[in-house]
Amino acid sequence: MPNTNVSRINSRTGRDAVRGRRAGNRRVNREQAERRAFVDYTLVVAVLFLTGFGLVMIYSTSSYEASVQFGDSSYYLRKQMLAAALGIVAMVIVAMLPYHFWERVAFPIYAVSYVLIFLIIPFGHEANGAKRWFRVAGISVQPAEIMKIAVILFTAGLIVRLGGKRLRTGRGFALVLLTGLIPALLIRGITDNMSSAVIVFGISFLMLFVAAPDYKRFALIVGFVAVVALVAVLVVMNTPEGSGAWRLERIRAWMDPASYASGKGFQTLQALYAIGSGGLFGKGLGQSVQKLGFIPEAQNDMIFSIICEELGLVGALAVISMFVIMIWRFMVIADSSSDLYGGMIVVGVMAHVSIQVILNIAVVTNVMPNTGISLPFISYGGSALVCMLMEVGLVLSVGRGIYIQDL
Amino acid sequence: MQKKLLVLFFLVLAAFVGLGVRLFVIGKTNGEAYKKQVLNQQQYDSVTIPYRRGLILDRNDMVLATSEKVYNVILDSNALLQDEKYMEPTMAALKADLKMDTGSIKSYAIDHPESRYYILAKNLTYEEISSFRDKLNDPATYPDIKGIWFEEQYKRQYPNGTLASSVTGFTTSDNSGTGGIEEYYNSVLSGTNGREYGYQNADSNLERTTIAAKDGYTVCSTIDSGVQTIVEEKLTEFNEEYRDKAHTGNGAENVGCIIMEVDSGKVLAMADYPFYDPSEPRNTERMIGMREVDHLGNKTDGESEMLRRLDQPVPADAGSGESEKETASSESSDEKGETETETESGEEGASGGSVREGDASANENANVSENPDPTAGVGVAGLLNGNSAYQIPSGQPAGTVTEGVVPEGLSGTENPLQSGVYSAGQIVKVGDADYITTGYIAPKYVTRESLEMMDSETLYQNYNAIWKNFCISSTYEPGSVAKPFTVASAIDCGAINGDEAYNCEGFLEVGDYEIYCHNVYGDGILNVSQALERSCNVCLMQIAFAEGAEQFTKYQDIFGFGLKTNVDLAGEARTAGLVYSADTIGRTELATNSFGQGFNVTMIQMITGFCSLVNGGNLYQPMLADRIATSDGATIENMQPRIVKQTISKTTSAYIRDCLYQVVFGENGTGKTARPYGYAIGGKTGTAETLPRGNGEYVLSFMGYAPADDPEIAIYVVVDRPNAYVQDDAKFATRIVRSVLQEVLPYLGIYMTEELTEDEKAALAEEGISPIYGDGRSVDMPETETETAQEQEQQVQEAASGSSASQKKDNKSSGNTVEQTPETPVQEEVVPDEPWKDFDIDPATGYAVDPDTGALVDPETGHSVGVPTLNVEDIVPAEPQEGNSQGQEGAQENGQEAVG
Repeated sequence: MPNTNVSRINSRTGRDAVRGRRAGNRRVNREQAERRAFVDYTLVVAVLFLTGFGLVMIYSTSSYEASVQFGDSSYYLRKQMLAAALGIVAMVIVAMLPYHFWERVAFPIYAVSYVLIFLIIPFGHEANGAKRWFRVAGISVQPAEIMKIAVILFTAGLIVRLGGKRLRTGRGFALVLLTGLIPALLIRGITDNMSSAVIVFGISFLMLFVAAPDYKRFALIVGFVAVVALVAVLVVMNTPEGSGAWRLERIRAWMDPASYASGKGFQTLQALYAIGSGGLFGKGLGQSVQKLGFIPEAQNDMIFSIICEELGLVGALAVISMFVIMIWRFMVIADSSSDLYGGMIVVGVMAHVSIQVILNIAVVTNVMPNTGISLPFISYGGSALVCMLMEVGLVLSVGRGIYIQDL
Repeated sequence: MQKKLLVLFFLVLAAFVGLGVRLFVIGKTNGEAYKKQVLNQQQYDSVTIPYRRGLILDRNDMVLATSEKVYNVILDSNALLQDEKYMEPTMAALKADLKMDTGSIKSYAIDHPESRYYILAKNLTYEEISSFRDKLNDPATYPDIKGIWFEEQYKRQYPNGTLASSVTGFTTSDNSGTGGIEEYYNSVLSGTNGREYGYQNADSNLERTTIAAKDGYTVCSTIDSGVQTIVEEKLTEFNEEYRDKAHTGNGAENVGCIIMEVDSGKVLAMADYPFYDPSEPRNTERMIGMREVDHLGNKTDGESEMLRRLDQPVPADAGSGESEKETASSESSDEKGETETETESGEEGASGGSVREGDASANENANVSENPDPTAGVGVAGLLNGNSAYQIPSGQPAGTVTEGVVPEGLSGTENPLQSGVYSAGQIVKVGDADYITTGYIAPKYVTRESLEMMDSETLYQNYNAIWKNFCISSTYEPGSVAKPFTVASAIDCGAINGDEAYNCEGFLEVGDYEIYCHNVYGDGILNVSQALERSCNVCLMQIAFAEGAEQFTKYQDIFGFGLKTNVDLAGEARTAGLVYSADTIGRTELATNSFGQGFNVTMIQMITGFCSLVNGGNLYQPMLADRIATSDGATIENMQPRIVKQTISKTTSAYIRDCLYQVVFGENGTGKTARPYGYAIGGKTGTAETLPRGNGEYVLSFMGYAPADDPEIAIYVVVDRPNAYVQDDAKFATRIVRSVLQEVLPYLGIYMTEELTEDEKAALAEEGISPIYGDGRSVDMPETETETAQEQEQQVQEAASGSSASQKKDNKSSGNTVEQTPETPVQEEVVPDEPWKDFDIDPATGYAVDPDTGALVDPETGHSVGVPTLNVEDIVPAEPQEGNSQGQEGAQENGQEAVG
């Protein structure tokens, strides 16, 4: 480990060790007077805003369906509010803990996550036709969500341990990729959850991208994926209709949702209707028509389409801007972190949030085929929200290691 | 790492920008199409389940307004054409069960194969569709009936026709209330629509789910349908009696009646004629006879000048029954000449101030009046302003012609009654009768012909006119019914104690004017109670002066004049600008306000204040609804009676009750004819002249309570411009009051307390009413037929013997026959002070004729008939401001000051 935590301020990243030490010396002189932990209020405000806004939108989108199904229009809202409260408490606790604590427990967590995924096979709870959850005391927990945090923590530690030199070797590179790829394949295989698999792999991929100095390998991988996707599309287009597996049909529905309006294209098409009918300023909060049964479970993955319908293009761009602000703060904290381990954790969280937001909006706007992926902080889903807030807690914890003068 | 971090950030940013562009493109290219698509699939895939609007019940849970389910038959061509075999069985069923023309339906379906929603028939009842519906619900037997379904709706219904229509209001087709309870409680009555919709489950199968509609709440009204029915019957009877009497049109422009519980403010009945049917509020039939309004909502006039018949005020009214004869013959006992004006919907325009400098003629009259014998100037005024308003009949029978122009060359001077005193007005002769031109244009009434002429805007205004609730939305000058308020305030503030005596010489000099009493010969020396009993203007003016402007206006405010009562009905008029304040009231206004002239009120204000006068001083907020319940009947809210304030003390209230009792029971009381047989009530009459002064149009009213010793209900009847040659007779109102109370009091279980005379028994038997007494005693009632015969015989005798009007009055009001109580002592006693008692009775009219002036005078009371008794010019009725300009200088058309 190149950067020990002896003085906490001796380095922000490995490469800045010298400059950081100089800064540190200067500060040590005035230690008593000026030492002040850094709290990134911009990030805190952005997170709380998105969480609060998410609750509003969940009530707006789910109240109708909730009153139909449960006779209680705030059914989903109350569950999500509980999760948000829990998540914020968890976020604060995690932010107070020194993040090096996680370096020691990263491997055990990573290992337990594997076990949990395997335990899905005998003990998993099935909902909506898929077996992805544990139900403990009425609370559903998705092991894939835990795996996302585990991969962030473990990959960060691995990258620090390998160091810049070994990352450049093919072995080191492959090792880091595999820490994400193996759980991703397991998630895909055991829980049939393509989107979580993509995210888990994407996290480790982007962390590696930031840590490793070169571009060539990454370009190759991206190119490879692009070619595979292109081939898949071509195959689908040349396969006679009706003969393919349902996943192929999903791709067909993506390319021409109107032709599959009563089947696979239904949800996508209804989401597009919602976006298109919202116009510039939308129909007004709570005024969505599409949520009244046309977009099933509108509070979940398709919530962004209802935001577009009710708040219009302006509202949608405002939400996107909020995410951009959040990711920008992640970048600043990662950049200023006092050591590589902290920096890599923040990069992992940044990757997670970015991938998930981009994929969600891409699905809703039919830029890519429909796969169930939720919008962080806003979509309904208790365990996802708690995990997300805990990740933000990690970032804040890393941020606390920075001093005002470092910025 | 820093560099790659930045690269990553910009990659992410680029992705967001791309997605933002994608969002923009979706809206730009497909926005409109998607909007339509969203609306379309609303119609196809999800069905609105309508809520049921809440009921309106009366206090005994009788239904005043309800909503019944009706069905629209919808054709889904797309479903029908899925298979050829569906067509024939479906059409056969449509033809057999719904009696539809299947040919056109079939061709529509074939022409529009994609149509999913086409209304074949609307508003069918459950019975009408049940046989077809049974087939639809039995797919085993009828597998091939497709593409037809029923859409449910609710239709608002008012099962009792016009009953309480002003109270309930009505609803428009989109279920929103217009007027009355329907509008005031609209949000309570409305529910939430339910929905049946399809959605896709996780397996992409379309599922249908139903969310039930939430029905509106029921509003339980304080109206008692029994009382309301009686009131509306009597108002209809009144209209039947006077319709087309003096001119084509209803029995009066408006007749309003409110009955209220004295000790809670709950309204038992509220009605205003003309009625409309809330089930079909746009039925123009009911407008016929109503005063027509123009496209701005202002009352319209015809083209002809209004004439007043000179020689035959009585026969013109006579011949329409016993009571009619009574009216015309003699008993114009009420005060006259109070001014009245309708200020409905911005009608008030010209009037503004209070007093204008009198012109030459006023001064002249004033001079005359200084003479101890004031009669000299009166005849002129009397004949010019009194008596029957009439439109020139163009040689046709009276009452049949409403339009026409004064025929040329009809003026003449040969009228014997003219006696050379006419200095103004043209005498014209039409047929055998003489008329005098009034200078006023005759009003115009809605007829079938005029309905056809109306443009949509005018028609709309006329709808508004008939929908308007006269009882709360129209303002007018109350006239003498305001006198008890004046006395109550003076006593309550300590200005008088009730024992004062005032000398009425027939007029009182106020500033430059002499404001006369209705009895221009003077009532003599009266105490406060007698002043109310006789409705003496002079006394009331002196009482108001004793009280002072400050206290007077303060009490006007306390009684609620100028303030909304906040009754729970839509459309209550605002009168804040129609009363005086201490700053704006002058001495003359104070004088006229003291007898209910010069300020405007609504009916609901008057009766609300009146209840506090007689119940010990508690002013209750009037209420039309006292309970709100769910559609299942569970009570959600009970509205309790609310005391707004204490207006006067209990002692003052008791004093006022005594006075009001004397108005009905005193020997000189003006309200005798309002008393239902067998009951003791108290009350006060009112006669008010309308604007412009001297047009011969009056608003008559009576406000009373029953029983006299322990008030339970209050009643207020206003007759706005009755259809009669002689309008200024409060008996237009008192007779309605009597006939209403005669049935309402027994209905409410209030026992009789007074002995019935034989005449009264006869009258009750004829009306089919059995006397009820608290002690359960039975009254021997005469046989109806024989009694009627006797009565007729008696009338014949009376007519033959030319018995005096005063005797007839006694006959009717106190129930004594002429032979039984000639009341000679009374006559002897008052003769010295009552010179009119010695006047000759004009055999043609039954009125006494003043030998000095030729004026007609009520032989009983000395009131000049049909005459605004005083000719003080231009004491302008209030309406002090429209839009807060406190201008008191506004001119009024020159008219004789009417003095009640």
